[in-house]
Amino acid sequence: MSEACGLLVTAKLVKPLDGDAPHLDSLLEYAMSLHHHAGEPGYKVDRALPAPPMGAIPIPIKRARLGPWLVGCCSNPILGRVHAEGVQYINKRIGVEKAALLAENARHVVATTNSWTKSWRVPHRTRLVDKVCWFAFGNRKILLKTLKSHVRFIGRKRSVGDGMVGDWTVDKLDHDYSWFAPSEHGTVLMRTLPAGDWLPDDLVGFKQDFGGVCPPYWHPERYSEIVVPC
Amino acid sequence: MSKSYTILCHAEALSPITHMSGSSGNESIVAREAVVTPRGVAMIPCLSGNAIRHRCVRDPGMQWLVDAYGLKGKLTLKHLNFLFHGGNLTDGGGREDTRRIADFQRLWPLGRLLGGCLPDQILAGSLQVWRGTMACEENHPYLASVLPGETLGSRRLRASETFITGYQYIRADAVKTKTDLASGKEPCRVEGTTTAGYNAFMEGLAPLIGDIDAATLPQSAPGKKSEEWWVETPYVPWPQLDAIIPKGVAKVSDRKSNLMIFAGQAITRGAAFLLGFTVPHSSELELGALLWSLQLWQAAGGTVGGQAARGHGRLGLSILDFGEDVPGLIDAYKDYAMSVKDEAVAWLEAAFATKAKEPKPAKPKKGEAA
Repeated sequence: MSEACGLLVTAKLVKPLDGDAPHLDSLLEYAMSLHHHAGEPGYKVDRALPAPPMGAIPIPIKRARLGPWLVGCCSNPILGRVHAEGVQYINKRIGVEKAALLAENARHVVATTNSWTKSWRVPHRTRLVDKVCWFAFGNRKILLKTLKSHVRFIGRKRSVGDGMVGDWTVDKLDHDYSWFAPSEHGTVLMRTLPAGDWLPDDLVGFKQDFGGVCPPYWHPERYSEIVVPC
Repeated sequence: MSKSYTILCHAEALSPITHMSGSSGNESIVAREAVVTPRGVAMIPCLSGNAIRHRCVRDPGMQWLVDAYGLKGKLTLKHLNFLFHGGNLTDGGGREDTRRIADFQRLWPLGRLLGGCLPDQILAGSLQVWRGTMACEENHPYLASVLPGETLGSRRLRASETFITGYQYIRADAVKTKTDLASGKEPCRVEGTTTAGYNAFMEGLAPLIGDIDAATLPQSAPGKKSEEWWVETPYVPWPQLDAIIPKGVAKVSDRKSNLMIFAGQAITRGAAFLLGFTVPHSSELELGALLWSLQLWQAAGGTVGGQAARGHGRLGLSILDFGEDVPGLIDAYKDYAMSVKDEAVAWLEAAFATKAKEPKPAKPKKGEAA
């Protein structure tokens, strides 16, 4: 990757974030999947189907192979100060007021407490965060253009305006902190990585877990022994 | 050719807005969102993107399609749920029918925008609806960042609390207001505490109930231990009943009614909101579907939130110029929707067609080889 360097990517949020901030590589892969024929469009990836091939969708940050995994050179999301925390409710119910549209034989009593006709009032945790940052290693110019063009919202419930990004900035750094960062106590883990002998001996700030290390992170085929920053 | 659009709209409250988030005590509270201000975090009234998405886009847009396609009175509950509420995933997955997705996106431009869920498949939507943001002092930095150029400039805005007002209504009770209409329609229970009162009441009641024997009425007569009594009268007009009720017993017309006061917060008329719609990689037909839905919503009163029946929640919408021919886009969408009517209806029916169950092989009888 030409002109690749250490980067600090910042999303300045103007609306509360619903759920957790995404991994930068998954965010970019999802955005680019709609345009790239090599990969499946993001919305067609299903946990019941085989996972799409790793690295099929080009993104402007570097990927490196660790064992069987192709891991993006970007840190886990780092949230700025949480100014307020709250809960919003997402409601849904069957619109029985439109019963006149139903066919004669489809008019009957609807259960609203069970089955697929159940009414919802689901709580979602929201946090008012001024910015979310990622350390990355990649091409600054293309990354900034990609983010500005394709990513207006992050987190959950983007379709109803949560996690709205006011502005993206990508700053060049002299060092690459995408996976590890030095500290006086040892090497600090900056992103979720597969557990293995490739980890530094003096690694600090991590816990062991079981999960994914590359997009789609939630897919069962991506699961392995991992280390997670904490 | 697809293109990404951002449509910004100015929405002015034409009546009190009661888009509520819950209640505190017995008072309804308007929905608010946390906003960072120089003086700390403030809770500012807002319109949820979820409400805008449904009330302003999905509901009017789908209602028009149902009417235009002649589907009224022909839908199943699952059709209704899919078109107006996004549907539910109810069957086992493991399959993605790409032809069905492609056909849906071609035949239902509004569906391509909003997405939905078939029983066995999720259909992604592309529309991103912004939260409705109040034009107020606390939101100035946000508005300045999303409005084009110098639209806002250094214009001063009022603090959000100056737009908060209240309402109070009373739900009346016919016991108080329509006694003459209600009387003679239902039985009434009369209670007393003295034998003398009981005797006087029964004596007065007898001529009012005609052929009915007063002794056969549901009642508890006073006894030796207690003089308390009650009688459940049949259909006697309340004014006549009041006339024979002895002293010390509450008259029917004096009984406690269920009069109920209900109150809450409201956003005052004249408050302004910024609404936004981001349509990534959209065709002109999808854009037309969005604009037509907004126009239909406005034509039908343009309400958000609750209490529209009492005149609340009306918003006057004006789309800020985004460089496209709005009437042309709408006409193109309407023409297209009608040109694919039969195909679209056929798609809907096929998507929800009941799958024939494969017959299970019969179990071998005892003694027969499997």
